[in-house]
Amino acid sequence: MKRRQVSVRALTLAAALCAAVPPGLVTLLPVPAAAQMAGDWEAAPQAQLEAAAEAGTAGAQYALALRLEEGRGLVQNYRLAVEWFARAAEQGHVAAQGRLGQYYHHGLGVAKDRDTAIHWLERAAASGQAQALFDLAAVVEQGPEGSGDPARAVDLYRRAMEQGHDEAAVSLGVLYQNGRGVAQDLARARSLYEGPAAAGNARAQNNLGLMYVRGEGVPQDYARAADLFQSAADQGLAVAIGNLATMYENGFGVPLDEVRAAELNRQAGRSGDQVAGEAAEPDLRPGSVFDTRLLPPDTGAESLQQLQSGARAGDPLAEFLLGWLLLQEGREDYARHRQAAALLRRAAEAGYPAAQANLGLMYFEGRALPQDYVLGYMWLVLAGSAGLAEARVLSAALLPQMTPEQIIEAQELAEARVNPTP
Amino acid sequence: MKGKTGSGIRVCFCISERLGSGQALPVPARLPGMSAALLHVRYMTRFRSSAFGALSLALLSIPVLAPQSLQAQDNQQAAQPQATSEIPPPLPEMSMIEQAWARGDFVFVRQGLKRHAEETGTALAQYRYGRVLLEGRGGPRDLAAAQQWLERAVAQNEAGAAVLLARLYLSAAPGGPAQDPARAAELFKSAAARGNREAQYYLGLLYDSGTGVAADPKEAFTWFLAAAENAHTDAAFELSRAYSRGRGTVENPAEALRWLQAAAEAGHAEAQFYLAYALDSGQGAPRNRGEALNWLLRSAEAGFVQSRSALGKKYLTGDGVDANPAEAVRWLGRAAEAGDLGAMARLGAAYLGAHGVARDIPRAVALLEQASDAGLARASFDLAALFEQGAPGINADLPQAVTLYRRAVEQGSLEAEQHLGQLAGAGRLEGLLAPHRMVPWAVAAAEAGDAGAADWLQRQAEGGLRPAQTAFALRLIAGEGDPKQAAALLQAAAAAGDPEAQYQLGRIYVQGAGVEQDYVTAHKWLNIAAAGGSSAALKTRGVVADLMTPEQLAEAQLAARRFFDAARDAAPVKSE
Repeated sequence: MKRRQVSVRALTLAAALCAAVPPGLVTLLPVPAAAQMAGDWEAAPQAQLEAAAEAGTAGAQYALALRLEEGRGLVQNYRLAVEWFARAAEQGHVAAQGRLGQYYHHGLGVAKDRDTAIHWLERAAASGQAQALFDLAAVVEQGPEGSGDPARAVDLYRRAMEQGHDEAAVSLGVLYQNGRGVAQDLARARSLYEGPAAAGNARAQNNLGLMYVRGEGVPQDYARAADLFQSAADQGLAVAIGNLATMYENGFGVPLDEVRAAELNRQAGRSGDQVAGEAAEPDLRPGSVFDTRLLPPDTGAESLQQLQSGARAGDPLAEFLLGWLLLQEGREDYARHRQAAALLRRAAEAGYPAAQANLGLMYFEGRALPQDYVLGYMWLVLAGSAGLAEARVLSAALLPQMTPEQIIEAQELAEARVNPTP
Repeated sequence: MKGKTGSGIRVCFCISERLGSGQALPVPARLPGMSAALLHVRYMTRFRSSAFGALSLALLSIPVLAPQSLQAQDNQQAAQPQATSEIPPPLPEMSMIEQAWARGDFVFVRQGLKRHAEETGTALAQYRYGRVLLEGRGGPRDLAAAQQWLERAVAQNEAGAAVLLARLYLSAAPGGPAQDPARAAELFKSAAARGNREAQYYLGLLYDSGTGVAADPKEAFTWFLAAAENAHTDAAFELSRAYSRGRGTVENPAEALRWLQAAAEAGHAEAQFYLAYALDSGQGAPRNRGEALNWLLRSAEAGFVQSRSALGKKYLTGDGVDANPAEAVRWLGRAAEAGDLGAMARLGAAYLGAHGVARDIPRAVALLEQASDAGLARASFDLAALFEQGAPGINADLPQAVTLYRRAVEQGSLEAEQHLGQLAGAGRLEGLLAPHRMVPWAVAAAEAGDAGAADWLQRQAEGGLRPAQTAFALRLIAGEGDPKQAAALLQAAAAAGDPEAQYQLGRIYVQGAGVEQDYVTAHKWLNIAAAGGSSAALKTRGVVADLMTPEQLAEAQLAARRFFDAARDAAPVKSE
């Protein structure tokens, strides 16, 4: 009676979903929402903002902290951001309290401290705002060595959901599905997923798909499940890509296709958990960043000669263009990389943002330079603070592979380059 | 010298004597001086090499056209009598033009064809006039006009004109049309479809190399087969190669041999050479050394350089024929004059007084130097040995010998490397070179079992010579020596900046061989080696990184940074 079984992996993957929203500080609070909370201060001139923050205006403190967090117009600095979030939070600024809680939760720029994190998240949640309730729920749901409190999370998620928070509905669905913090109720779980799934929520689609695979609370329906996994996979959800691979491996609801399955599995391994709807992974290869104000350089012999003499004379633009060109061809070529690194370094040290970004990517890749996330991140921070928006996207993408200590060290090195202390 | 006949061009012009030496002989891309055995291997394998395609096209692209006699096959068109008129003089009959061609009066030919082309507008006249303009007979070469007349003939479906025009489009000749392989392919296709064997052959070459068409070995095979069945000799040879490698068809040694024989019998000197080789070795044909020698003689006499070289070698060593030093010197000399490096080296070595050849040191040195300068390792080695030992008129000169042995090493001689290692082990190189240069040689000699070299390597390692430490450590690891001693040596060399040691040290930390397994330290050293250009280290670093936590990775990266910082501080002049 037993046909081929869905591989164990697919079953365990469901549990992985309980942890809910993918990690990464920058993604925890969508930037537009955060900016909104910065209110009138969002567009204020830097000096004015700093003065108001120093003078104790909570809104200004929060807005300044956000700028430090993003590294927009100044050097990204989580440690300073935490300080300003804390000052605004003490004054009762709800969004700042939420942010501060997150920093303590991740141990970024401040020692990791679960109790303090929960304290600040609770203060924010006391406002009753859906996002604050959700953030608190996500932290209390899981805890080291059984200290999680899923029953409390159920309550918090429900309150957020009642305000129309889809992610909260999905997370609540997971708890119902697994019977954590609440009696298992598959019908309830299913109805919690269905709305967000129809609205395009990738986690909801994946989890609902899993119910159709298992025939939990619904008649087993592989085709339906495969469709749902596909929709979620299209949004880049790694777990869903893995589940879809399992469907192809076994020919469940789709034609059996091992090649496709292998390709999907590779893809699932590559794409860390992405938030549904987030932009596609940026190109992290050195040489991917070009200065959009420039035309691509002419590679005729004469122009190259001009660039070379320019680079010899120390013109950062020529150094950048030559280094960039070297990285375009022969991505595997050590000597070219070495030369490109030297050119980009000179232009980066002269403050040229596109050179800084590419040099940063070279440190992450570690081909002609020692792989060093700290130095790589430092150059990306510098490029971002000099106004290169692309560099901020790249640093956000690279952040998850770093430890908090590395991030803070990189930011401090960047700060020291911009404002050397005697 | 007698080339093979390019019978394929007989559509309108038949070949009177021969094609010029530059005529589309598909001479393979080969390294001069390759031995016959290597050449055979090359023959069997070179379908994979792009060099062949490039060279064929280079030859294709020079349409040197040999004198052709005119054939009177189309004279029903040409023999039309002309109405007489005072001025201009009567249009000469085509048969008269053909007679003029035969006796070499190209001025008459050119003027007659010009009028035929202009006044009768026949495809044949246009084609012939285009050809005369292209070859520059009876007047200046004029490629632009040639192109125009050939185009007109092609518009009237003249297959011969299509072939000639296609070759012009492949040639990028100055004054001619811009190179246009796609157009050339179209022209060949149209003529090939109408049964023109030369077009079929060229089309096969284009499909083989992917010029002007997408590369398609099957198509290439089909067209070679069509042309070969039409008695096109070059195509028969290509077909033989296609069968021998299974390129575009199923591998078929019997068919390969059959077509090789057909090409050889039609006078294809290269086919004769390979046929000789097959018969001589019994590889690809039933062994028959007598027949092999006959084919080799035919090919050599036809001027095929490899055959001359191979024949000379046979006479020199008495291989399948009675040894004959005079014949050996004669054939090797002719091959050497043509630039065959193997022949130069062999003859040079013979002049040192081997195989019954009278000793002639100056000649030997001159030949060996020539081959050595051209890159032949064996010649460099023989010359080095001569200087090492000395000879009448040559003083033993070890520094000079070492220079030449080193050149042989650069040219790829393992023997030279081992010999240098022996010299190092025997202490004969002391003071001549820095010891670190000798390490790879000592390794080669030690691996070949030379105890002196192995001892030397150990002494140098213990004395603190970095590359010797690495090399000796690797010998310890490979030979199941003490892994701890190996680790200590690698540690010392790695810390001193030896990239190979850094990589190997990283590896033993991954494996836990002679040290405690430690991914962080492994990653540190692999990272350092990768930044120094070791692609093996880059690869291994990626594997290790997958097994590490972000915290371990951070620690390892920091350790690598510290290493570079310390190195920079130690050498403040040198920028990173």
